[in-house]
Amino acid sequence: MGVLDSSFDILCRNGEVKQLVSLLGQPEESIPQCIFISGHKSSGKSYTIHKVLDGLKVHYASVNCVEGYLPRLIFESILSQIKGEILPPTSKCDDVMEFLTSLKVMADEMNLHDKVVVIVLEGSEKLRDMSPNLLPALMQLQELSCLKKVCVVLVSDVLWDKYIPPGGLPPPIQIFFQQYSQSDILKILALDKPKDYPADFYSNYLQLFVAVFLRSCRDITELRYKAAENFSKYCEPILRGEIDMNDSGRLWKHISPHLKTSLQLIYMRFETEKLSSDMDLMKPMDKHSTLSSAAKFALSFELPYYAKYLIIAAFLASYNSPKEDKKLFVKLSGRTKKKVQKSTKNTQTKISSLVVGPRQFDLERLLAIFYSIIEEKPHISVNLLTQITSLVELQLLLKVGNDPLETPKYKCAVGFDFIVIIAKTLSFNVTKYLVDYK
Amino acid sequence: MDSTVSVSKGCFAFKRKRKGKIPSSVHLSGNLWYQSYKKCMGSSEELLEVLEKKIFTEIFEGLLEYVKKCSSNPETSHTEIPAATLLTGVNMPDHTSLFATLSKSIQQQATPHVATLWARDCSSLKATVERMCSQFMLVPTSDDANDSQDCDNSSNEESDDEKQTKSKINRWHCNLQYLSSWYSTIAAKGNKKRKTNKLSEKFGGKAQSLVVIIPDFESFPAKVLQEFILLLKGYQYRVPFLLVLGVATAVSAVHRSLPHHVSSCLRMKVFHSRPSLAYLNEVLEKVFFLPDQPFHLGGKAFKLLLDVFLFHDFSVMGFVQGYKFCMMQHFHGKDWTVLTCSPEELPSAVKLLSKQDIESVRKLPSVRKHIETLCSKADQISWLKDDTFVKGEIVKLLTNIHKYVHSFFATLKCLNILTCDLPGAPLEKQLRSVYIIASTCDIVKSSELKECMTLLSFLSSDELESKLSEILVILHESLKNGATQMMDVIEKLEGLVAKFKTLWAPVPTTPTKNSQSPSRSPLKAVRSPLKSPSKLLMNVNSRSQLREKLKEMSTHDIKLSPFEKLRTEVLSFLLEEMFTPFLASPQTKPLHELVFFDNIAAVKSHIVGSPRQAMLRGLRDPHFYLDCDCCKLSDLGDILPTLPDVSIVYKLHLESGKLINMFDWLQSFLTIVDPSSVEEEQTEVDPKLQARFTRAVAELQFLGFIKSSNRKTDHVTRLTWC
Repeated sequence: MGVLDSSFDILCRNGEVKQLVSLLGQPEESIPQCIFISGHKSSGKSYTIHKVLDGLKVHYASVNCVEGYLPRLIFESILSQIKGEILPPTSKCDDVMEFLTSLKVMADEMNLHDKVVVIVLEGSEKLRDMSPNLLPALMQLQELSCLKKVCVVLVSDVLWDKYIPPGGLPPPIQIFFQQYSQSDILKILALDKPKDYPADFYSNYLQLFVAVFLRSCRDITELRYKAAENFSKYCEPILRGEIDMNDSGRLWKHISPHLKTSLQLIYMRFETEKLSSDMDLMKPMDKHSTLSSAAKFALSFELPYYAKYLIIAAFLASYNSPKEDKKLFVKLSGRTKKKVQKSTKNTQTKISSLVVGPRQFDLERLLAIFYSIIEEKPHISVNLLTQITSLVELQLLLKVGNDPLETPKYKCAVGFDFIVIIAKTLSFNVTKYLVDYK
Repeated sequence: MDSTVSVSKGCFAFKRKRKGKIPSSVHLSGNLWYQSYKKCMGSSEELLEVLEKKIFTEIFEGLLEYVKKCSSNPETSHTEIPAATLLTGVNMPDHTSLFATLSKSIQQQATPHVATLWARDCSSLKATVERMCSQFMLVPTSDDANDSQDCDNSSNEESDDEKQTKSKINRWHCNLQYLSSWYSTIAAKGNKKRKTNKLSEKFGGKAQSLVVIIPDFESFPAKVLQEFILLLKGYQYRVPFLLVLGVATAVSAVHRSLPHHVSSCLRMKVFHSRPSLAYLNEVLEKVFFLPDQPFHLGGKAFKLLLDVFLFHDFSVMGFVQGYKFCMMQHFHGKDWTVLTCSPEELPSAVKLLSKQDIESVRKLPSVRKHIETLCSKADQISWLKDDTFVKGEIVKLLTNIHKYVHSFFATLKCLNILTCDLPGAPLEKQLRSVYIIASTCDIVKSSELKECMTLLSFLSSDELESKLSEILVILHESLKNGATQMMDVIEKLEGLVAKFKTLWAPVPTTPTKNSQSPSRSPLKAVRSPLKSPSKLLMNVNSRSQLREKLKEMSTHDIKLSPFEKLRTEVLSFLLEEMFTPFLASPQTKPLHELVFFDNIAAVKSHIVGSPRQAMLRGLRDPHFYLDCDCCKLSDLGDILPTLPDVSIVYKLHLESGKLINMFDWLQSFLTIVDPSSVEEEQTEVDPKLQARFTRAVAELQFLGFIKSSNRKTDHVTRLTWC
């Protein structure tokens, strides 16, 4: 079959398309058992394979393995797609054996023995975490089902090396999708050109756009989204008649701040209408532009009074070693002071625990520190203890382990910047209690 | 016990027969107090409901609009899932009702397909999907059945059909493939219906979005959520989903827990809910600080609830629950609380009182104090002896209290307006804190109020005038509500405010005079007493000179401008004729116990549960919980052999030092449990007793009182000292 590459309408993927067509496009020759397609996220893997299979007009089923929290869902989806209709609810397909039998039955019914049947499994890295014989079975489907023209295509953004279990797997045919180059991206983005504008004008815009965005993002879907979002802003002064369409210098001046803010919000898709209020959101951020994102996070909501102290206590428990507790929280006597100085000398050679990350601590220690840093002594009530749970729910603390009988252990999930802001609202000096703070 | 027909021996399970459950209200409705309790609770619940509805609609307005918009044209969102993000604040306990209302109102106004996924039910992707699908596929079918009943066009067969599918749905079918096929049939049906009836046009006629509400975004396992979103996105082109994320902290939390490729599947729109503090203020203003409510929280009880709110959880729900509990405690089991009613019902309520009830009213501390202060002996005797006289007095006193409450709240609001924006806020900014001060101590004599008054005497005329006009508005309002005593005050205050106007009238007519003597100008006069001394002191050379000058200055009477005079007049009027008479603490009024609930000792252990205290009490005094005769202790230090083993062991361990010798401990345990054995000086310990001891020690260790020690063999470390 002389299928031309151009008929697939796929940009910048000629090599890969050729490879795929040569593997799958000759039904009279033997078909590979398994093809493994890898490449970065949104580099056109699924799009290409679907287009190619559509173009070759073969039977195929395509399943995203995210669905595969139950293997039966994958099997049923494959079968129903090959059959072209939804399976009756009575037919169950719980494991590989049942899948193979029903596949064979279906092949007999639909006379598929001489036709190419392709099963595309997207996000196939998920298969590794499922039952250990599932992936090998799927990779050798041709052998197991005795259907000579069945091919399984695994699509993934993980390399093949990461797939191989200790027992080993028969290596599949691998096709690697290169990342798009800058010119590729420009070509693809140019496809989205709005009708009312000339191609030159749009490609000018794209040049500017890609120059800003390419360093931080090569994700083509995100780029397409951002390009469309910013293009309307780019055109605003032209529509208002302030800037001439050919005056690219002034247009650049106009758009570059927008592009920069837009770059900060990359991957965070906010509703476009909301943009004006997004700008309001940005304003307070500008005010604290020197602050880190954690600090901004801390400023954006209010915690109850004791919860603030609890989170500070949790932070201190996480970033001080239990040995130092006595020095820090028990009133100092002269002798221990010397020791503190000594120990600080020692720690200078070690790595600061602020860099290492939070240690886990148990509830008792948290409460002990809590009571030593808070001036008034609220007695341990249910309300106080539930605060700890709600901090865990807010993901400000992390619970370690899930033994219901043991005393619970926690880790502090917020960083130094966050704690400093919280402590400032209480006018509490955290650094005084941190051994490793310089 | 029922007999069985079975011949063979065995165990047979009998299902308990369902007795027609008698609601608790039937048991209670016979009681006098219950009726007044019900009335009181009913009125405040009604108010709360109205308020809650109002606040929720305010929050949901934008969100519902958005959902409607997305739902009416689902085709526009194939590549992304629209995600309305509602920032809810950290008051977790309130969220349940918030999202229940949200889901209901989305169902009513936007789309019938709503599923709510709580994190506790969704520990895995499988559970999440199953829960979502079952909610979608079950609820709307019944809804459709209702629809078809409503409109005559649709046939009965259809609803039967739907009933069948409804019963068929089981967990096996709770997956997205089945859901999408289900959705396409629904959508097809919807299109068919659109032609025939108008009802579905309310929902835009077309197939609507499926709304998934995730109320507690943070507590969702991040991995489940990521996969769930990816999964939904995969089906988005077939089934239009719409997410509503309840985020307690901030928007950035969403981006923290979702990686790029997931977060780019969402199209977020952010909505803000009202901070719970503002909500609480509104609740207080609209429900609790209402003078015509017969029941009020006293200062201490109110402070307790407010502390729980501010320090612990920010939960308005918790506050309201606490309030309701206080109300229950107030009424429960006391028939004389019938008197806690509106003044109009008082005469009839008094008639219901029995002799006993009157006796308990007499025993109230405030009544006793009142009797003691009475001048005439005859009155005192009739208070103690004559029931009908007491009834009459009760009505009088209580009507007085109700009048007092009216003026009290009005005056309190006025005071708050005056003092809320003073520098340093010596009398607190919020009405709620002023209430606490005023109802626990005598605010008029407090140092805070004095400080406020001095600060107020520096106010400029504009500020003072605007404050006075605000006060007048409040007073007029309270007059309408029945605070008749305020009549006088209003008249006088209006006279004073009018003086302000006349004060300003001549000033513009004499501009020349004004410029000549700037100290006369009221505005500058504010500063002049401060400025002039420093000027006078400028050319002082020695200390003695300075002292003389100062003496001179103190005797020198600074002339007050007319404005200053008026200001002092107004302030002293406010203090003497308004605050002093009306802001007396409620505790000074006889019978205040009937209107103000302040018995926090009774409610504290219920509102602020403290597990540790309960445990200690159980160990120290098992009788408190067991309520058995054998454990009755005359003195808490006593150790009886009949006490539970843990309690004995606990009490013995209190006597020891930091390290406890196990053998000694066992010996003393034996002396108490089995005194005879020790007298015999047995070396062999009864294994039963030893086992009992070991178990008790293990229990004590589990409770966290002791732990095993490495320092000394056969010793344990004691961990608590109280």
